[in-house]
Amino acid sequence: MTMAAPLVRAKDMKVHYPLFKGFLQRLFGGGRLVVRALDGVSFEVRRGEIFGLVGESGCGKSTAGRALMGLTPITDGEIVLEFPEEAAGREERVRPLGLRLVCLAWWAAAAVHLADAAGFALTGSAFLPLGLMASTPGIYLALVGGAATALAGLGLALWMLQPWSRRPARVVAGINAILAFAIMPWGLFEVAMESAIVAYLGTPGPVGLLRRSGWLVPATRFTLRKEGVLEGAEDDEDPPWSERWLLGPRAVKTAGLSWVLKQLRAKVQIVYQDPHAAMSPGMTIGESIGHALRAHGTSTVAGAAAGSLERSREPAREDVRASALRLLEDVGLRPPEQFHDRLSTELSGGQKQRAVIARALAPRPLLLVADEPVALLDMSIRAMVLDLLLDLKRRYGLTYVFITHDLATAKLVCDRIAIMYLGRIVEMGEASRIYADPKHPYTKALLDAIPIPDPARRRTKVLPKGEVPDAVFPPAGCRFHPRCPVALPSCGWEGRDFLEYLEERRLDPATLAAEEEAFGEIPDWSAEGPLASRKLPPEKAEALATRVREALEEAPVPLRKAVASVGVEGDYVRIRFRPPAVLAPKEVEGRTVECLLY
Amino acid sequence: MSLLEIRALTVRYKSRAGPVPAVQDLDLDLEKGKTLGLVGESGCGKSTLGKAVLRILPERTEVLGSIRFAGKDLVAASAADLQAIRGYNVSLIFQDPMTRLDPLMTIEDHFLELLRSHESEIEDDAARERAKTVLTAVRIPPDRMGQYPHEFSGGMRQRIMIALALVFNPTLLIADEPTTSLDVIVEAQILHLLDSIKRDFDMGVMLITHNLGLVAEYADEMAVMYAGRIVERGHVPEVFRDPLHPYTKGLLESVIDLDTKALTSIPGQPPDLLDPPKGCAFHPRCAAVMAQCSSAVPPVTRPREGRETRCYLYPG
Amino acid sequence: MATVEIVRRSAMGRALRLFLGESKTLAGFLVWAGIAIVVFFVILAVFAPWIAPHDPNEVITTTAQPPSAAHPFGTNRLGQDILSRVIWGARIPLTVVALASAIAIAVGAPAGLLSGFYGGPMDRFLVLVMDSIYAFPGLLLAIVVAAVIGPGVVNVSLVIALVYAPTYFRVIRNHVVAVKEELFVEAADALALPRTTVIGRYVLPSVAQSIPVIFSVSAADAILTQAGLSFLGLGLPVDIPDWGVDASRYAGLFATMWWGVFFPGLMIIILTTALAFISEGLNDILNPLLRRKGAR
Repeated sequence: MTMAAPLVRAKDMKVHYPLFKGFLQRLFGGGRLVVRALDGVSFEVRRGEIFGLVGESGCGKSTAGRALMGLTPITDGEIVLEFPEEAAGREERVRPLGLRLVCLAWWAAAAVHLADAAGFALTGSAFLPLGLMASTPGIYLALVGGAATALAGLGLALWMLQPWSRRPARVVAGINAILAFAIMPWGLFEVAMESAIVAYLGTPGPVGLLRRSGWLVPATRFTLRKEGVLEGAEDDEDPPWSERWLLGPRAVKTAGLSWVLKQLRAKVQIVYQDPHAAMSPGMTIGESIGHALRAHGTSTVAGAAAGSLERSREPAREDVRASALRLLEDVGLRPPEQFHDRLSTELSGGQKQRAVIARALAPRPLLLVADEPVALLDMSIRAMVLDLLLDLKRRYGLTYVFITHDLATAKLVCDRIAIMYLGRIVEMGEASRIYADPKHPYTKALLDAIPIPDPARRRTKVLPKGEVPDAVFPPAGCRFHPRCPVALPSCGWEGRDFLEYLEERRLDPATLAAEEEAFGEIPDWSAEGPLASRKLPPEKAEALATRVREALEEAPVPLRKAVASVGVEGDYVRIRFRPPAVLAPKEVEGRTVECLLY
Repeated sequence: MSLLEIRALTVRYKSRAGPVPAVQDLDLDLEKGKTLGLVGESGCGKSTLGKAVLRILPERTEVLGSIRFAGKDLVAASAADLQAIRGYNVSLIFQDPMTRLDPLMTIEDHFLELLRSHESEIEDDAARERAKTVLTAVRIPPDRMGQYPHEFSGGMRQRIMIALALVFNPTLLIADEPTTSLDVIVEAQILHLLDSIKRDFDMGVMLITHNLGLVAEYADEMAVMYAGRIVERGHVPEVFRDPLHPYTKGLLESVIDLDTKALTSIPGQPPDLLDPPKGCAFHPRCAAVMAQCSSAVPPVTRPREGRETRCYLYPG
Repeated sequence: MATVEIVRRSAMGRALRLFLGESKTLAGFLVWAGIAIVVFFVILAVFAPWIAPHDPNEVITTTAQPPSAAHPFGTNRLGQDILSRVIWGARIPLTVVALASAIAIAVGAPAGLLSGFYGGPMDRFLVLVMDSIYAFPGLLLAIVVAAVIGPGVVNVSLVIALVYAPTYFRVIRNHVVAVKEELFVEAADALALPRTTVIGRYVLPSVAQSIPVIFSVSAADAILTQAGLSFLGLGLPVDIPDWGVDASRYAGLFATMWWGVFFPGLMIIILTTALAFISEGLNDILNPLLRRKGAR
């Protein structure tokens, strides 16, 4: 048996949101501002582990977690999810011949209908009712088009009878078939309807049929691919195989939820931070869980072992209720019958979060993204919910991506963690190693800042100054450098940092007047990348330059050493910074760190 | 004389389902220059207590007992008296600064309005100077006074709120979960700031929080609340070293910090204030429960010097 | 017994109970008063043949007579009993408003729901169309369209439906756009629940609360619009008893024959006010409910 591939492999994920400032800018495009929520994040999650994504707000941890599920589309990079064979239900291995025929028929019908429509346009008639065609070619085209539509409709209808399709699709296909017989010349309408059905269902086009595996969704914004991957030795009778999912950029958010994306959702689920907001206020717990169970056709057949399941097409009502009760029991909401019929508003925070977890488990996922699951719960309840999560993991063989800002919780729960800052991972590795000996200055700062509930161990903390900067304008080089207590000159100092320094000098009211006199108002200065400049008439420029040099002598060492030159260039006094060193993650003592100190 | 002396305070909200006793028969003292940590989980009444001091409570809320601030009883005070004290002698800062700052007013406007509300004849320039002084004290660049709240980050907004609270040099500052919505590094910065300001301005601070770590690091005295009553009071190092009340013990054990090895929690649910358990409200969840715990609410006892608790395990 | 339980626990049942629980307040009283009045008029309309003392078109006297014991509302110039005409006259406004509202809801609400939920170019287009219609003063639009498509009860209903459908559309669409952002809707998406379930069970219940409020507001307005159309002779054939028609005929004779316009006009006012009561009351009741639900 080969080494199991990791469950999740994220490579260089980027999520950039465009920021629209003002109507005019939107109108004329150009120079759009972008929020870099994730800016090149790569990590792996191994099967059966708890992987922590830790950081302060705005670091991108929630975005990363949601991207894994396809809830947030990534703008660059890729995510590969690989699930072992046990997860693949039996039906998913079946690739019916009928489906391929239907797809061929669909393409044929579409082509004919387009010709049909062109024919109508050319012969001067359009959408004429039954039997009133104006020309002979039109008649033939219409007849052929209609027949093809009928075939396509029949084919779709046949396919709809497969167990894993959905009822609305069946209804639509049925109507389509009827229409195809009755109203043959409505070519364009047919094409539109069928395209809608096909896109909705995510059925493959002919390109996919040419591949041995792969279900490529036709012609739309999807880049979502599912492959079957054969593992195991050549001579295995029944080789184990796994399902591999590839999410690329623009893998769509749920708009036009296709059958394909739905299958992914059955494998990866999310537990939200705010239990009160995550449950619909008007529904009972049983209803919420029931919807999820029904949507994925999961119900535990009596006598089946825990964790195994048979996905039935439309589970009977009692089955759904029984499964829901079982789930409630599993998450510790006892007696389950009572909780089943309660409104979500009648539960306390801890109970509600358990219900949210139960609901997330209804599709029997393999990977659970827990987005700050206990942050909003009282301290005395947190432990219970965390205990529950660990227990469920053991029982169902789950893998967690645990997102939190609380390093203490992460230490207790996670096997491996990744510390994130402003859209990048700064340190990643085994939790025990990182906590024992944190390497990155940000990690150290985070650990230091955590309040210790023991008054005997009060200490003075060295806190980084300032706050997490704006994700639209991340600092150059290492994003943490403006706040880092041990920064180096090559860490990425730039014009902005000089202006920061000027601002800091005038925080002391005693020197405020002198500073303002020497350097003027801060808005008079401008910072662009490695330059900080101020426009000044030449007679005053030299004096200012000298004062700048004096000020730099008093500046912190890394800032000072990073300055390449201070001079007068034309109308401007310019301070130039050296370009930063290239930053890349390095292996240091069993973990990866992204810091120039190593 | 203590800066703040609360005796037998009871606060009852009027609700559809009947009166809800958010605070019951509560005694509390706060000294000048000290930080009192008021700890408890959601629904215990600590926020209500903080608001009750300045009577920032919904209409038709019943307030009984006495709250003496520098000798003056605030429960009996008139609306005008309270208005004069709010923001002037006693200031209150809240959890979410964004909702407390007016998004349509610049920071300068906030200060001018505040200063004029208590000193109506103050000149604009003088007001600006005062604002600059206090903004510098919280390390906000004073030249950003002309900006709007949304142009600042969360931590900076909280510091602006602190600055607004300090502009009249109040003697008492009530901070209701001031850092709960902030990240851990900013939280540490803000509390460090509050600590140094407390010393510089010689204020008394009531720190209301659910975070025991903060209490351990910044408070001198602490009071633990459960279901509207104070179940334990004392000097912070002593309470942590030797908690008396079972709830305090449970709470301390359930805190997850870097040294936690196992997950412990307190079984059961917080009580429903409309239908609380008879006797000691904690008894259904208490490991050391005895027969008398369900009969009547335990009285306050002082089993040790400087310590106070409400528990039948420590009879007076 | 199971059905009772289901009704009790169902969303409708809960809403109804909350609603009933409010009768003691002023808002509750207003709603009940309004409903009582509307029900009264409905009874009048339905049982008109038995309640009205005379046939409304029957000529009884030769001249207009002021209110008296025999004719409590007097008679008009054609010698018809005004009381009977008023009782029969309730039919048209109620029918038209009921039909018009039904059509407006049937068109506006689903359009708003789907448009708000799916967004995109379809949404932008629909909003443009609906806003354009909405921008027209209601009565003016009604007059223009009624003049074009001609008289008749169904036609008048269609006209009024056209005037009010955009209101339903806008309110529901905007509400849907807001609710769509809620975490529980996203959670339903994350669970890959079918679209119909998400829209029908997660979004719709929050949004449906607005419908009764819009209904009563627009219904009150619709009565006036319908009466206005009749007044201008645009809605209905002349011999059908209708408050608007009757009022228009005798408006100019107010000085000499005040009872000709007074009683039909009074009915219009009372019905409109009753509907306004309902909407005010519902608004008061439902809004605190919304706030309380959201406040958690």
